[in-house]
Amino acid sequence: MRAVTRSGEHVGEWRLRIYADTAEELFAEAARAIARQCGPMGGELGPEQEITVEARDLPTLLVDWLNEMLGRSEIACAAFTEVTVLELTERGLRATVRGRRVTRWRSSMKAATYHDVEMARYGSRWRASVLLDI
Amino acid sequence: MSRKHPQKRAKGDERLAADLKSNRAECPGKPQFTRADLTQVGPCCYELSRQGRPAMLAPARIYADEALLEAMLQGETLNQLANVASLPGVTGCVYGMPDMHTGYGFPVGGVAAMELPHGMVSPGGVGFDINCGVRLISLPIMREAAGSGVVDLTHELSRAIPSGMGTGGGVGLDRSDLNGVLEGGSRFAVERLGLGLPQDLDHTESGGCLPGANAEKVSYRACERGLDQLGTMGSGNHFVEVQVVDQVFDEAAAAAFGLAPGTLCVLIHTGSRGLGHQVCTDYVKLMDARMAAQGIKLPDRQLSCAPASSPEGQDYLAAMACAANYAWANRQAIGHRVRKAVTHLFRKVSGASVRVVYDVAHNIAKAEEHGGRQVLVHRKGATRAFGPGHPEIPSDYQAVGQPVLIPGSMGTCSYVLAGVAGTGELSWASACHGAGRSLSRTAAKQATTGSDVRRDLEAQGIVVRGASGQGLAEEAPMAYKDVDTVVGAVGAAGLARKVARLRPLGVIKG
Repeated sequence: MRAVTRSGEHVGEWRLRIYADTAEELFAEAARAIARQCGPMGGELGPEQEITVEARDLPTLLVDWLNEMLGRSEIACAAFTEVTVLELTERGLRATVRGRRVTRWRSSMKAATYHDVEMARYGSRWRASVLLDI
Repeated sequence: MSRKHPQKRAKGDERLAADLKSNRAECPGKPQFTRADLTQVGPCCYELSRQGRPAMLAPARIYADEALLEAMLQGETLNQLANVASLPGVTGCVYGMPDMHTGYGFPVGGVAAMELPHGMVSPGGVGFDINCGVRLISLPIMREAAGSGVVDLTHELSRAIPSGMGTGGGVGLDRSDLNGVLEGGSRFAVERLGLGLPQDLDHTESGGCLPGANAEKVSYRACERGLDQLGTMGSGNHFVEVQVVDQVFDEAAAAAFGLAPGTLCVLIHTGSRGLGHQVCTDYVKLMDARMAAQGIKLPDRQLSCAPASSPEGQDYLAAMACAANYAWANRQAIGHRVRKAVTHLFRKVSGASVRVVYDVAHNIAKAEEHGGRQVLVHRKGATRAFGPGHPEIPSDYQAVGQPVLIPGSMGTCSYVLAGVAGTGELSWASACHGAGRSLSRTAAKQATTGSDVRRDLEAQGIVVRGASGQGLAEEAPMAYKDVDTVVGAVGAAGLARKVARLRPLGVIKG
C-alpha cells in the first residue's frame, strides 16, 4: 500500500499522522508532507543532497529529521519532494533529497515537536504521529 | 545515554529528579480535569484542585469567565497547566490567561515563574516563535481626513512589507550585522542600520534589547535562517493591520498613549522568524537529550528544561535573548517601512509624528523582580503588564501604566489596555495576548472558505491584501474566542484596565 498522511485535530497546531508499509517509507513520506506545505514550486530539480540524522530512538529521530528538513527547506527556499531513505536504524538515518525552488513561500510550519510523538508498527503497517508548531 | 548509568546531575537537577518521581506514575492515562476540580477564588479567577496530583508543586489559577472556562475544560489545556505547575523551582502560582488554549508543553496563555538561580528554564515555556509580539504605531491622521487614503495605505504596506522567503525585500544582513542585531536588537537596528528613530526605543519593552545576549550561543543554522528574514512578517497568524481608534474607555491613559478617537494606527504582529524557531529547536533537543541521559522523565517532553544556573540553561538564555533581540529589530524594521509608506502617501506628515505607542513581547522568559525576589517569568502567549510607577516602563507612561496590546482575530477589534498596580501577586504582572484560538485550522477550513471570509471582511469595509484563500479560512474570526469576552475577563480579574478599542480597516497577511 502507498504511504499516506492525514491531519489530526489540534486547536493551535498541526497533528501529522503518517502511515506506510516500511519505516523507511514513513520517514520519506513525512518529509514529502512537509514539502507539500511550502508553496508553489518552479524551475528544475536541484542537486541531490545527502543528509544524516542521529537520535536516541525512532520517534525522536522522526522529529529531528523533520526539523532538519524544515530548516534546510527554509534556508534554500525549496521544497524537497524527492526523498530516498538509504539507511535507517533505531538511532540513525541517511537519506538523499532533491527539491525545487518555492516561488511564493506559504508554509507556516515552525518546527516539529516531541509532544506526544509516536512511531510504531501495528500489524503490517507503520504508523506515526507528530505535532508541528504552526 | 542508558538509564542504568545516568550522567552526574548538576545542582537543581537532583531536585528535578526527586520532584518528578511521583510524576512518572501519574503520567499515563492522567484523568481530565472537570468543572468540579475548579474552585472560584476571586472575580473571574479559579483554582485547580491538586487532589490526586502530588506532582503539582504550585497552585494553578485560571482567569476566565464561565464560558471561557468551559472551553478550557475541553482538550488538554488544564492538564498542560498542571504539568507546568510540576516543574521544579516553580514558585508562587502558575496562571492561565483568559485566552488560554491547548498547546504542547506549556499551554498557550500560560505564565509561570521559577526561582533564581537554580529554578528551571524551559525553551518550550517560551515557544518556537521567541518574542513573538506586537507593535502599535499611531499616525497623526484622523480617519475622516484620510478618506480613500486608508485603502492606498493598506496597499502600500502590502507592497512594502514582505511576508518572507521567496518574496524578497527583507533587510539583507551580512554576518557581522546579524551579530549586531542579535546582541543589540532594536538599538542596533536604529543606530547602525538606520531603521527608525531613537525615540522608538523608549517605547519598546526592554528598550528593544534584552541583556545577556551572546551570538556565539546561536547555531550556524539559526543564523542562516535569520540572514534574509529581518523586516519580514511571516505567515500563519502574523499580520499588519491598519486600524482606527474606535472607542476610548480611559481618556487620561488614551491621551498619554496618543490614542484620540478617530486616530489611525498600524498594528504589527510578528516575531523572530526562522532564527527564533531554530534556537528553540536546538535547545529543546539539547535539553531533551540531557534529561534522557540523566534518566529524568517529564510528563511532556516539550517541557524539557535545565536549571537556569546550569551551562545549558545559561546558554539557552543567552541564545533566547539573541532571538528576542532579532524579533524586536524585526518589528523595528517593519515599523520603519510603515513610517516610510505613511510619509510617502501623506506628504504633510513628518516621520517623527508617526509614533510608536509601544512594542511588547508575548513569548519570552525574563528575569524580573516581584515582591523583592528575582524570578524567571515564562510567558508563553501572555503579555507583561506592569502598573504605574514601575521603573521598566517609559517615563511618559509612568502615571498610567504600561500599554498592553491585545490583537483581536482578523476582522475583529483589538484592544489597548494599561497595566495596574499590584498584579505581581495576581499574575506575575501578566495579561492575555490575544483572543485565543477555539477551532483547529482544519475545523476552520471545514466551516468556511477563504472567499467567504474575504467577502465578509469587505462587507464590513475591511480591505484585505496578501492572504491566500487557505490562510484566510484558517484565520477566520470564527476560529477564535470572542476578544471582547477575553478582555472583559482580564478587566474583571483586575489584571489590566481597558484604555481603547481599535477597529480594523485594512488587513495584510503573509
